[in-house]
Parts: sequence; structure tokens; C-alpha cells
Amino acid sequence: MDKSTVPPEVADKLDKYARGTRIMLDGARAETGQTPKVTVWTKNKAKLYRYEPEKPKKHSIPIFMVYALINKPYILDLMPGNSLIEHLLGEGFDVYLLDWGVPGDEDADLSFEDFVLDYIKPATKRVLWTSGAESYTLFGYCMGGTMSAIYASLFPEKPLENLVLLTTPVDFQPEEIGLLGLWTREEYLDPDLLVESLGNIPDDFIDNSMQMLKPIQNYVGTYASMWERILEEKPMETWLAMNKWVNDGTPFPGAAFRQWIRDFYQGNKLVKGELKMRGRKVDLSNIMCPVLNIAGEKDHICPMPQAKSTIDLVGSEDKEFFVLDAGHVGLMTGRGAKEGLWPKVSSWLGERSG
Amino acid sequence: MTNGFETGSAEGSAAGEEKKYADPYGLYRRWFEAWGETVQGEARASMGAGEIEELWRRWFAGTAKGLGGGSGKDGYAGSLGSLWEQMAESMRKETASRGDLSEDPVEFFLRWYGETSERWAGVADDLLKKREVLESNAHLQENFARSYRELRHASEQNLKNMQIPSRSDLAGVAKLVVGVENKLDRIEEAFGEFVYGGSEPATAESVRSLQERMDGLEGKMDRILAALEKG
Repeated sequence: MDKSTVPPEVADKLDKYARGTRIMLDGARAETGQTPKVTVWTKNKAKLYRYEPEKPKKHSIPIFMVYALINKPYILDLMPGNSLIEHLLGEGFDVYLLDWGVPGDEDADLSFEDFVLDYIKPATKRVLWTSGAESYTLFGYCMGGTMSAIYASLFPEKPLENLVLLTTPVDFQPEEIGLLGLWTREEYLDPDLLVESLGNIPDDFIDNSMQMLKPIQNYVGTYASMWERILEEKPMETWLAMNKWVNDGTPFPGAAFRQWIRDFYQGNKLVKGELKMRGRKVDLSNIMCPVLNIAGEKDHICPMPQAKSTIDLVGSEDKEFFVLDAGHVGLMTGRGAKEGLWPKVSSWLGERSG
Repeated sequence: MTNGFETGSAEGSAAGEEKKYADPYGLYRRWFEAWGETVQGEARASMGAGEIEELWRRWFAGTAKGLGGGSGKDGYAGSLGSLWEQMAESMRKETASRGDLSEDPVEFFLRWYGETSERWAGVADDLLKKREVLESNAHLQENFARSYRELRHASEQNLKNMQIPSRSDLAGVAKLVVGVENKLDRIEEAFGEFVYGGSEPATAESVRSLQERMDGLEGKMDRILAALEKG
């Protein structure tokens, strides 16, 4: 077809169709995680990044971020202008992030004990050594928050200064368990069989399970939103970055998956005080440092009741439960995040970070 | 036919890995082709409402197959097969009721989605909570896991017979490498403790104490060995 003979409005529509079709067939592509950073420590597949601030450091206590074992942590640094990490650097914080990397078959036996005691623990030391600080803030997101809460229970004393938990499930059997709570019940999910068969749980299994929690929105609505943006010529960058992230998962190390389902979802051991890490009991009441616990009202991955009870379980006097009118990921990015989450985190920490 | 779908650069500069998806979206390609034909004046007269309906039907059938097909590990997606069919039927009815093709198909889809998505989301939520769906998925998942395990064992055995390293052999070697790395990490950490951790230098007294403990340990080892030799 000779494009010169095509009426401009039709050519325009053709281009838009082509654009949308390419995204649907090839997947969204976007530059993500662009804030400059250096790797200050590695272990197996894990890397500890230190983000390079543009402005001089205003706060002496560094922030150490721990992400979940599934999905990639660049959601915390999605893109310029839409990045929690960039915001915190701009507010004068020294920011570190533990990226678990992508586990291989050889990592299928790694459990929560390994991740908490052999990865988070030495990484905290490295944060202190690199920053020269005497204490640090531990910041956990989603499952990374659960791991951070466990770590803080085991090592509650200094140098731990503050604990920030973001959409962090702790009570896995509240009254309203949500769809994920239902699917993971013992009669419907046998993690032993899955791990024995698959080793690591594939990322598409995890991604599909997450997307199936809201199938109409995730499988149809996402693309409706894309077409709307294309046809109305709205900015696409955030949509592309988010869509890339949603489909860019990592396998769940087998042994950790087994524990996540058996001990957390099915056994609710963290709340019952029955969870042990290499023989050491995990008692949330040991946590005495200031705690900021943030949840999303529309979160369907970590429903609010799963996150809420943390505040009653920790021993801290200085503690706050902060709820945002957002979903699990929505609270992290976009306009809502800029007006809600980011200023809350930076102001709360600003008062407690020297 | 040359069209914009086949030409043009990729969306932005690529970052991250390219990921191919199952393609339940053949309809868009067909739309595009239909557009091209329309522009060329080849197909306007022949593109009837029936064909549009057929395209919707195919798209939803493809979507249902793409989401539910293949592996039991994605079983909950498969449970939505009937829902996709209901949605396709809803779109078909909507198309048929309009009786003409004046609306752009994508705009039609967006309007239809905007008007009905909340209802479908509710239907999907209810469906996925049903006991029979939960049980059926659990069963599907179990069968998938068992079959996969058998297949894996058979493959491993075949590779072993052919003296070709299997995936688990490679994982075993990789695990050894990780073990060595861990030892190096511990040495590095010990040095780090010394450099950054404010370790105090050894005093003559602490060295003497260590020497005494070593002597004690050697004495114990000698006694154990002597006892073993006698036994």
C-alpha cells in the first residue's frame, strides 16, 4: 500500500493500530531503573546497590531497602520522575537496595532462613560500612517487608534505627483472607508436590496467579487502557514501564516457596509466634524501634487486614499505621504515590534519621 | 500488502529482555489488515457485520485458549473459559444490535469495556471463589505437577543413559560453585570486620589464651586417637 495515497486521518489510525499491536505481540519495552547506582556487595545472585545522590546527604541514617523474592525491584525506581528512590535521594537520604537477582536451579534449596540470616544480615553490615553510619533504617516492601520484620525481630537492637513496612503481609489468616488466601489453603494447594516437581516455581506461574486475582482488569483492562492512551495520544511511558514490570517476574526459590505457603499462608506461624529461623524463635514483640506500617486500601495481594496487625504485635512505642487509597503497586507509582506515599515516607523518616 | 504493522521501529529504545507472549490477539492483526484493504477500496463492501462478529468470536476463543490452554499450572485462568465465552457473546450481541460498522472496532471495544467491565469483574471474582472451581483447579494443578515430575525423571534417566549431563547435574555443579563463593564471602566479611568493624588488635594475653585452647584441643584429639587404636 502506498502511504502517500492514504488520507492522513486513516494513516494516523493505521499507525496507532500498528503501535498497539506491536506492544501486544512483543511486550512492553521501557527504560526502567535509571537512577545511577553502584554495586557495593554481591552474594550468589544478590546485589546490594547504593544509589548515587545528586544532592548532598542531609540525613546521616541510610535507608536499606529489601524487596520481595518475586518480581524485580525496579518498581522502586521505575523511571525518572516516577521513582521512590529518586524522591528519597532528592530529600537527602542515602539509599541502598538489595536485589535478589534471578535464582537458578542451584538455588532451589534456599529458604527464608538463608535469605534472612545469610543475605540480609551481611548486607546490613555492608550498608553500615559503606555509609559510615552507626545505624540504619530497614525498609521492606511486600514479602521483603515480611523478611524485614523477621530480621528486625531477631536483631532488634542497634544498629537498627527504624523499620518501614510497605504492603507487608504478617497476619496471613485474618477474617477476610481474600482470593489469594483462599487459593493457598491446604486443601487447594500442595506446595510440597509443586516444589518436588518444579524445583523453583516458574515466574509465569507466579505472574499468572497474581494477575488472576483480578483477571478482567489485568488481562482485558490493561489493554483497554493501552488502546485508550494510544487513541487519545496520552503519555505512554508509565503504562509501558508498569506493563514491562508486571510481566518481568522471577522464579520463586522452591524451598522458600514451600515455607511461604506452609508456614505463612497455611500455618500463620509469624503471628502465632511459632516461626523459627535456625532454631531462633521469631517474636515480633522484640521490635522496639520506630515502625511505620503502610497499607493500601485496595490492595488485593496483601489485603489491608494482613498488614494491619503488625502494629499491634510489635513492641515499639513509636509506631504508625498509615493507609493509602491505592492498590498493591498503585501506591508506589503515579500521581497518587507522589502525593501520598513518597512524602509520607520521607517526612516520617526525615524526623527520625538524624 | 505492506502495512504499518510490518514496518516501523520498535516501541522506544528497548530495555530489558524482549518477551514474547501467547498470541490470543490475532484479531488486531486482522483488523489492521482489514483497514489496509478498506483503504485500498478492496473490502468496504464485503466487510459485513457477520464478519466482525466472527472476528470477535475468534479473538475471545483465542484469548480463552491462550489463558487456559496448555498447562495445569495456570489452572485458574482455564476456569475462566466460560466467562470469556459469555463476554464474547455480550460483544456479539452488542455488535449485532448496532447493525452497522460505523464505529471503529477498537473504540467499540473500549466503550463496551467501559460499560461492562465492573460487572464482568464481579462475575469473575464470584466464579474464582466457587468451591467447584477451587477443587477443579487443585486437581488440575496436582495432575500437572505429577506429570511434570514423571516427565522430568524420565528425561533425567534418558540423559543419564546417554551420558549427557542433565539440568540437575548442572545445578549440582553450580551449587558447588555457590558453596565456594560462600566461603570466599566469609573470608571477605572477616576482612571487612577487621577494616570497618573496629576489631581490636590481638594482645599477648589473647594469643596465649588461644595457644592454650589449641593445646587442649590437640590433647583431646590425641586421647581420642589413642582410644580408637586400642579399640
